[in-house]
Amino acid sequence: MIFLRSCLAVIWLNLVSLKQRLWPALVVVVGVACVVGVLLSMLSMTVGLRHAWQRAGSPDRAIILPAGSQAEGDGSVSRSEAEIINDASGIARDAKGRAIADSEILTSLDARRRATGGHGFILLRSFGPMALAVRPEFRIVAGRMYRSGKHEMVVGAEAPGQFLGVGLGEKVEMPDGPWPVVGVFRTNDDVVQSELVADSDTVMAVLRHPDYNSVIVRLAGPGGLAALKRAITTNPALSVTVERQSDYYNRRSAEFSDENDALAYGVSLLLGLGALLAAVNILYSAVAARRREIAALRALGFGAVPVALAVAVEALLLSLAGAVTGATIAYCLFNGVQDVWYNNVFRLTVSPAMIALGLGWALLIGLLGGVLPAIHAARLSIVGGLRAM
Amino acid sequence: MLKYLPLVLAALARRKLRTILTLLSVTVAFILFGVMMGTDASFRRAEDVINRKVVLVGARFADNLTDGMGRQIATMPNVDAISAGGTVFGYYRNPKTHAFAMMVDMASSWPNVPLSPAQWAEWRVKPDGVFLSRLLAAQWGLKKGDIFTIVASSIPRADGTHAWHFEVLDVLDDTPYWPGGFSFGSYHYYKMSRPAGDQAKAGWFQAVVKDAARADDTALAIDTRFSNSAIPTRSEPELMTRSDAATAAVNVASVTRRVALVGLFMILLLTGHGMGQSVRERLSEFAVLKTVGYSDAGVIALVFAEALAPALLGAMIGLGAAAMLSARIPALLPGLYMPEPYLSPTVIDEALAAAVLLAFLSVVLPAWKLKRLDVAAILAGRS
Repeated sequence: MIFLRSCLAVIWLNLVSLKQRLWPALVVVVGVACVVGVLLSMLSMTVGLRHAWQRAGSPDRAIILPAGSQAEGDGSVSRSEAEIINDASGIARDAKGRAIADSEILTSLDARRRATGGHGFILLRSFGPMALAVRPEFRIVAGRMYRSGKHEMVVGAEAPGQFLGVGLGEKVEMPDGPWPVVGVFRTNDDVVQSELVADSDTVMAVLRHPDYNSVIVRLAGPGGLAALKRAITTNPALSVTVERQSDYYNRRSAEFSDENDALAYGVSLLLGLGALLAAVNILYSAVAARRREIAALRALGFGAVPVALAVAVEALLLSLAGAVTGATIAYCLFNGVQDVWYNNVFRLTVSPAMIALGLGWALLIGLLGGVLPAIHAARLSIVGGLRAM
Repeated sequence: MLKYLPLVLAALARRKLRTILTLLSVTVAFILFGVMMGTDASFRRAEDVINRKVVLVGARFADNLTDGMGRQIATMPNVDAISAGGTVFGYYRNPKTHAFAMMVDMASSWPNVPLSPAQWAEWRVKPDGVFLSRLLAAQWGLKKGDIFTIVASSIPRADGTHAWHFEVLDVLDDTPYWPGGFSFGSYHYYKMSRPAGDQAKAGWFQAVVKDAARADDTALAIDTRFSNSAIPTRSEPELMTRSDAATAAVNVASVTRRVALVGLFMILLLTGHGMGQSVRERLSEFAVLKTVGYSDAGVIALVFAEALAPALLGAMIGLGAAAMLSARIPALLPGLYMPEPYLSPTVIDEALAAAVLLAFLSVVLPAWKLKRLDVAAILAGRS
């Protein structure tokens, strides 16, 4: 109990005297804020992008791709294959017994980037008659839905923020002339929201695209995927693969985000090392500057442990303050800001989990930075310190 | 000047730990600076070396161009030569390992393809050969003589499969023109391997224009010519394509510069603080120096040299480490297609300038203090 009280007393004394060491303390705080801010700002891209991808996938749906194809839009599924797939078991059916399945094409169109004016591309997805039953999250928020057979399209709510000429009322150049954008849709705040959507048969005729690229189906109950897989893989007429849609999007997002994460961690590790060295340096100076004070405390009977503890606690608190500052700045600057990765428009995200990671990282820096100076403080010669008076 | 050197060294040696910590943190900052600005320089160098005469022509919609279009473009004003090309893209071994080969036509001129006449001629004997740059060969784990199979699900072959087999003819040195590495195959092989209906189709054309200044106009003229045809084109000087590609993912340049600057700012704070501290602790020494006749400028120069030594040394060690790290970066992060950071003379100059600036800024406040030093008060122990 006495030990605890003496610890608290020394820690308190230490913190009160921080005012006199305002600048060095601020240097540690700002240094750690830089580390955490850079980490969170770099991660906000991958996390935001990954979320946008993952939200597009639903465990209730499956995606059927041509064999060998890794991504939607790659390779072809013929109309007759699509018919066979629609008859397979494992697919949910509506009241009339129709398969809740939609054969789609996904093609890229040239689009000017709003930020740079340079060429980019936007995806045009086509919907068949059952698309809205497959995708209940799809809803029109402005204008109206396209009419099948008409040369018109709707745009995802996020796309006009990054691409020129795709907003409501504007016209998108197609091979047979400009198609008006008649509506704006939202889905689940996912990557589909950065695409254009139009009617399958019309798009395929105009683009002279005889085949589909993929089939998206709603699964019938928990055993749906297994039944569908069995039906599809045992049919020699089909050369396709089936995957749960949520798995598909997880797999696809891992392709780019894992290495982006690695880059962010690598940069942050280097910056963190710099901040760590800075913290050690400054805490050493702080200990050196208070040699007399520490010697006096020790002479009064305070133990070495409370003195060391006080230095370590100071390091931890300073880096915590830095982390909170850095995280707050990163959150205010980046969270929710729209960004674009090729054709995928997404929102930068600074999530609570990332903030926790930043805090943890900062505490580790504080802990490591505080250890050596703390030990140094505990081992200072009392006589030497007092003599300096 | 040299006679002050022992003084500077003695001051630095007296507080070894502080000097070492400062040196280390400056080193870390410059490793980051070197890698980040080097990546940026690598992109910029690629834009500098781009041949201004090259115009790329592709199909505006997801179609293939026809050989006949190439012949028409060749007759257009300002067009010197036209070459057909295609790209085989897919994956190699693991679906996560994206792989590609640019298929180039040996019958025409390619100012941007770094192959010798002898290497071009090798395709006559081995049409399925590819030439890889070291960077990509390392990423894909290939060496000369290996079989390299790209599974390209959207590019069918005449036999109905999608597996494109290649033999690695040679692994060549990387060139600044292709910062992400290159992989070249023969267009003839590409053409002859496709289904009969696709054999008269090209993936894209590369036009070489006579007057580079009019490359933009020529690109526009090509697009205008085909705008009402069944296959509209999208043409652009290669330079534009590259700069679009560089900003398509994330604006890499802005991210890397920002990180490098934040790192430097952090270290500036640290060294600035360290210098201030060390001057404050030694005010009486400086007072003595002034008493024995050192001028204000002399004392300040001494302090500046003390800050400069670890900053410059740290910058040099950091750049050296960055250079060693750079060679490994493409292999460490193959999926990002990061070019190898290029520590250009400009980057090195910038780093050294940053080190000097760092030292300068960190002594501004202490120097101010030294200039206004009340020598008598300090010597009397009254301050």
